[in-house]
Amino acid sequence: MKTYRTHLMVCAGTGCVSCGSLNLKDRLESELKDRGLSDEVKVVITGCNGFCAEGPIMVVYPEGIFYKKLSPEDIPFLVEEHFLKGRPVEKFLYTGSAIKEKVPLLKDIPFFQYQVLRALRNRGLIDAENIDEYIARDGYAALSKVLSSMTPEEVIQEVKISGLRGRGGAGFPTGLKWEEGRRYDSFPKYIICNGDEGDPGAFMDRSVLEADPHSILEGMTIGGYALDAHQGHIYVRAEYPLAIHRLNLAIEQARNYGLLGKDILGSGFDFDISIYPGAGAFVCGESTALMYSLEGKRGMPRIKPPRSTEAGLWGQPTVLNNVETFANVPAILLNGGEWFASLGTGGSKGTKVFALTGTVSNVGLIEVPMGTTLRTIVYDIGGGIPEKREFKAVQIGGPSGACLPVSLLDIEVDFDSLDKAGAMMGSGGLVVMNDSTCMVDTARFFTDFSVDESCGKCVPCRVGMKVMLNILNRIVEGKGEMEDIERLKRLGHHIKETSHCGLGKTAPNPVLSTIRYFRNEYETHIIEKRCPALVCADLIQFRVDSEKCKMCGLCKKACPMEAITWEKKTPAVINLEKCIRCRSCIQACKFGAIE
Amino acid sequence: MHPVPVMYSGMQVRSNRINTGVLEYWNVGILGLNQYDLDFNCSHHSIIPFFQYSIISRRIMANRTIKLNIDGIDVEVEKGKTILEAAQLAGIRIPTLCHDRRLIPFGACRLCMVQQKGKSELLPSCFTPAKEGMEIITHSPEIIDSRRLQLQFILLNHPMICPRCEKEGECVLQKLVYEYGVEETLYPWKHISSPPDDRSPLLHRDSDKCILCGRCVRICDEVQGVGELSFSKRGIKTVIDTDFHRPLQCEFCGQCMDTCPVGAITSDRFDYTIKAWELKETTTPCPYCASGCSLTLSSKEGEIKRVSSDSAKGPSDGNLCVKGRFGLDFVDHPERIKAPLLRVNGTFREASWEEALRFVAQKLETIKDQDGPDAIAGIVSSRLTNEEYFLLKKLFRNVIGTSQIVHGGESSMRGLTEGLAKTLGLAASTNSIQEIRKADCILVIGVDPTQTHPIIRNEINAAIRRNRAQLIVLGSYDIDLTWSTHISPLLPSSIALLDRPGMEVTLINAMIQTILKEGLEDKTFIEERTEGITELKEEITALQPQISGMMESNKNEVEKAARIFTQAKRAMILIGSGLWSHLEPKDIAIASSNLALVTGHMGKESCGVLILLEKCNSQGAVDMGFFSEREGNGRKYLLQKASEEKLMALYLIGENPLVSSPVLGRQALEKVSLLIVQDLFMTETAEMAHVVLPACSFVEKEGTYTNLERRVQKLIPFRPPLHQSKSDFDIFLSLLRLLEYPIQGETPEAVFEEIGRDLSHYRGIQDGEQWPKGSPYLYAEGFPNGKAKLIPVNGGLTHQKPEGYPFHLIQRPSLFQSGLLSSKSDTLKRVSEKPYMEMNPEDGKRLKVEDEEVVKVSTQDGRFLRMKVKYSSRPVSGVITAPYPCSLIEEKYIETVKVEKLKII
Repeated sequence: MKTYRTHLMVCAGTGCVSCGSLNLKDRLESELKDRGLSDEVKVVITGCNGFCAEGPIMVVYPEGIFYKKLSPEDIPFLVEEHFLKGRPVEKFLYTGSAIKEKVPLLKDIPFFQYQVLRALRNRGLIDAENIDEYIARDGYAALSKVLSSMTPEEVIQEVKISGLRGRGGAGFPTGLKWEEGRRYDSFPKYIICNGDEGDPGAFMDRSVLEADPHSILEGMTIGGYALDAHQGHIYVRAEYPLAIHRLNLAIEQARNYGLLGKDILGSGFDFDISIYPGAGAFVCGESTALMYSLEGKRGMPRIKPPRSTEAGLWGQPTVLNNVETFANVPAILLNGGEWFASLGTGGSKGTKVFALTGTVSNVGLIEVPMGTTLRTIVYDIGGGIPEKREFKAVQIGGPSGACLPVSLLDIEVDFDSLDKAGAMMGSGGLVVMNDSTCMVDTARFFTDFSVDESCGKCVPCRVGMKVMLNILNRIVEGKGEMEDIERLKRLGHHIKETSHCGLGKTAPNPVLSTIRYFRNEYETHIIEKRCPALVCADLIQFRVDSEKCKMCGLCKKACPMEAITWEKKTPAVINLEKCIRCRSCIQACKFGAIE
Repeated sequence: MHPVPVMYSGMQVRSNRINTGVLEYWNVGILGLNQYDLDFNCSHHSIIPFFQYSIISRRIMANRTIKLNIDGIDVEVEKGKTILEAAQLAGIRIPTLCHDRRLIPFGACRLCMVQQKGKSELLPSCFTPAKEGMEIITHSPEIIDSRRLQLQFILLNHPMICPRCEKEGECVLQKLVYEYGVEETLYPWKHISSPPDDRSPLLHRDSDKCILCGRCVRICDEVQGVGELSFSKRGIKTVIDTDFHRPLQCEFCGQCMDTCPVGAITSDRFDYTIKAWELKETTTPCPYCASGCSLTLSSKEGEIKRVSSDSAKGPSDGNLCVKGRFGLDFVDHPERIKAPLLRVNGTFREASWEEALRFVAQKLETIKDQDGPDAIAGIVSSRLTNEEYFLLKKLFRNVIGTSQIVHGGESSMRGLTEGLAKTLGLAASTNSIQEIRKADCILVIGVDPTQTHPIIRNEINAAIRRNRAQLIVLGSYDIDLTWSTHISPLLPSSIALLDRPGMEVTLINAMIQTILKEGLEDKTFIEERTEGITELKEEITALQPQISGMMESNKNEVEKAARIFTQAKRAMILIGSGLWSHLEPKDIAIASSNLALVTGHMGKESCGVLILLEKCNSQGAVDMGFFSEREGNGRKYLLQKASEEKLMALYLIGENPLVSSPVLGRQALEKVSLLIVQDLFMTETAEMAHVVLPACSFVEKEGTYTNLERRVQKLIPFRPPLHQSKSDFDIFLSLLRLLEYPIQGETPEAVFEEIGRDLSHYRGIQDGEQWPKGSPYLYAEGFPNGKAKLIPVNGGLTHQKPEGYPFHLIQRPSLFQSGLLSSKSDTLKRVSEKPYMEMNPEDGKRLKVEDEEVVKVSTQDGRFLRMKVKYSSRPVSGVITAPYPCSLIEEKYIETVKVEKLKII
């Protein structure tokens, strides 16, 4: 086997690819070749590294030096300096956000320091398109152990001991689900991996599928063995072409290695997996709707009972788990349930992957132990709020989730405490919002999303959510009434109580939680007809406060309609007849002079 | 980038069925279901396996009922019932919009919410299973509040035009809004509207009124297996629509309209002409096929405005097909004969009944005296009541003194029922229609139930979807139903045993041969309950050369079919009486009965042979003895005799030989000196008559029909006979009086009692009951002759094709046209398809005939037709089909023809 002195791990997650990491890789390879380093330095394309904010990312091993925001033009210099002369290039190193110092090593960067990688154990370390690299990191060891030395009951027992709960949002104990599925004596049975990740701002599943597809295949195969199922389906968003590509490659490789298909590892156990690209409906993330979609029907949730474990896909016992859940399975089986349960809180064991986005310094994909506080996530890992803005809220759980205020920053993030706070773990989208966010508008945004994505089956979700949206619209247009807040609450509770599926049952959460924690903003909108965050265009006067105006003229430049008149040393004036209320001036003004 | 997902590669179908020991533990008999219902799956096109739930719960508490308390009332229900069903049992009404008893619960309207005592959670009662000890509250302030809000939501986008809506007065939404005192809401709402769709015939849809309960979508799919409607778009923009928003191209059964709780689907027959409360309802059996669905006719001022079906009556479970629902306008057709007509000097003149009947009686007496009773003959249709048949038989047998009164049409029907009588003992189908849904193997021989018996099609569809039943199609023509087997990879795909016309018996014999060869037969059953197995074995072995003569493609399939049929727990055989191809229908019945007997599929629920008779009282005609005549005395024989001038008088009752056998019929009618035609309409035959007697329609008379499952149902008239017409009963009665024959009872009821004295099976039978003694299936306690006979039949006869005539033309039944009545329904004509000829593409390519090309089809005697060709893989090579009625086909259901390309002009 060929050995290299240095490995360059170039991140090829969707984020880094979109800012050019593949060009970077080509340039690196040609540069290394030109300098005769091809035999000493190897370029490896990895899945998402996680620190998306700093992309394109390259990590140099064995040292673990973290390079950020590289461009192909930087490569000749970098290769020259680092790989020929052995001097890491300082200008591409990460700079701390709190203390402005260069941090050369990945392990010292705060973003990574607080993370514990279990589901993402192979991120940034392996070439996702090469099964050997997965195997080298103990990949398929769990499967081998399971098939050679464990009974299906033991496998289920181990998963139960681990306390693993479904990572798709509802947090149903995985071991119990598997046990249910095993109990029914009807064949064939199916295993389904739910990769229909539809929450705005969430990309955990995509990253796992792109970075470590084999861990999903292995997890599903173990699940298949536990259930006596022989067919697995992965339902993945068609909007994730890279994930689909890598999954296809992975399946092919696993089949060639005898890790999928007939008689896996000579154990006599057969299991195969197929991929099904979804057609883009959010509701197809709901398990029964997903199964309908898989069957070629309209994605609409069906009544329960029976549960899918009794009668799911094609009426047969079916176990459906989320991508992250399956990613955890091999590690649990390899290291034992106790190991997994050693992290986390009472009812929530292990770790959770979050997609940390919004107005936070370090946007990216993180994995933290259950019970980590929001403060740690936002400030330590996320590096706090940039541009000297104030933290306002964290939106957790997507359109089913809630907005948590500053007072709840010390909440321990796990299934139960989030539930208590009226929020929901969801699949793990975490959107940080600063003081320029209007909470009414945020609630309206998520409600609009739910109205759009409702399947239209049951009355409360189909009509009720639209009524809520209409009320929110009239509030942000300045036509709200004080009774509207109570109306929204009543409607919200009614929809939660009477809706058919998880989508409808949680769709009012963004509104209810913002009313609970940010009621004053609603009142300001309704009584004062004012949007404090200057987001709701109808409630902005578009008037320049001449006291605050520093007469810089930036607003004039920003205005696309030439509605602002300004001359040096005079405050700007907005011509309301020309103004189209696009808010460009507000964003341009650094002094908050436009109200 | 995306590989095509190969979903079923590597799929391990270890076992199609749940056949472990646990199965035996599961309950038998709950909900009228049985242990095989355990196989209910979720293969429903768009729906789910609700039944599976009740199945699994049954596993835990097999054979038990549960007790719960609803609103203070103790209820005991079978395990697996929902809270809603339990409440209905207790007489407590829970409001619903999306619930229909026939459909799997859907849970869309959220009105049926209830609470458990002490818990605040709201439970949808329509699909929440009732559990032991539950204490349910159906009307608490919270529940009422929630329902009110739900109704407000629905009303937000519902046009408030009730006075202009056809549904007013019976609209479920209207009732609930009134009941719950729903006021106008203050919620901001902008009306979302889409234009009504009136592009389709018969059925109009108005999306604005639609409340998206999905009942139409589900009934079209779950019950009809058609799937014409579906949900389209999503969220608040959701509508119910056809694919690509095209006009309806369906069966027009109107089931969607029937189940719609509001006025979103209506018929133009009803539009703006009437309000629901003005209607008078009458229940009577359907005059079309022999399924005998119970019709509820809603009429105003003697005109039928709407037809529905009472689920508690008849075999249809509340469902109807297009003919039953929309095809009854023939009763008011302008061609109804208004008065008796006498031919004087070559033209008709109206006569009084007195005069006409006297004329008939005198003439008959004279002919009888001068030329003997056998110079008089009669042919009768299958649409008379049992009482009328009884009187008619008296008229011919006892008064005139001839047995020359025969049944027209359906030459195969006689053979089929006779065949069953020979082997089993009774000339009737052995089982009931609703048992089909519980079978797990169904062999369909020579019939397309989708076209001829849609209600039976629904049953087969249910068996396939809910029970994963195996469908086997045997004949020369594949049928639509095979489509149903493609909706899930877990459904066994249908087996088609298709061969040259006339091979049916050989194919069945081949199945029996496989069974005997492999020792799969039910030895105990054969030993205890049948005789003749040795002869059957010998004969079947001797048939080897014939069996080897079947098409190569069938050889493996026959064996597979034989094994599946034998191993099925419940297997049924359905034989069409409009057999397309076989020469001797009796042999098919005997062969089928042999097959059922050797496999032990007889004398049990959902096991046996069903003959799909054609007309509403075909079975009654059989029962009243119109087929127990000696051989060679059929209708063709009589027409032949007439054409040879050996008949002086011919009495045709509801018969139209000029259409059913154009050549022979004309020859015969021209020769008789007295032609009496008794009919509803001035048919071609009536135009040739010497006396025309106007009969009345089924809505104007009393009596009973017996359907194909031996169910005797009473006709209830809702108006007096139209014009001067009289019921056949009254006409026969008057003739009998004029001929001075004493009749004991002079009403249909009295005659029915007399029938009971003659036929023990009919004794004491009540309206809607199956003879004998209400038995849903026959021979549970044994066969009338002690043992059933296994009679070897030789399928040696096949149709010959004379030189130069390489095709068999068979008459394809049509859903919309089945005979005289449907031809007089203008409504059915509006939806009938344009006639086309089906041809196997293989033949087409050989003849260089293109799809959609018009060709000339001609018979040996030089008659011909021009028709458009459609390629279809349904007929086997060498067979072409034309829709009913096809003028080239005489007497039989098959004709040898040649197909020629038309010269290109």
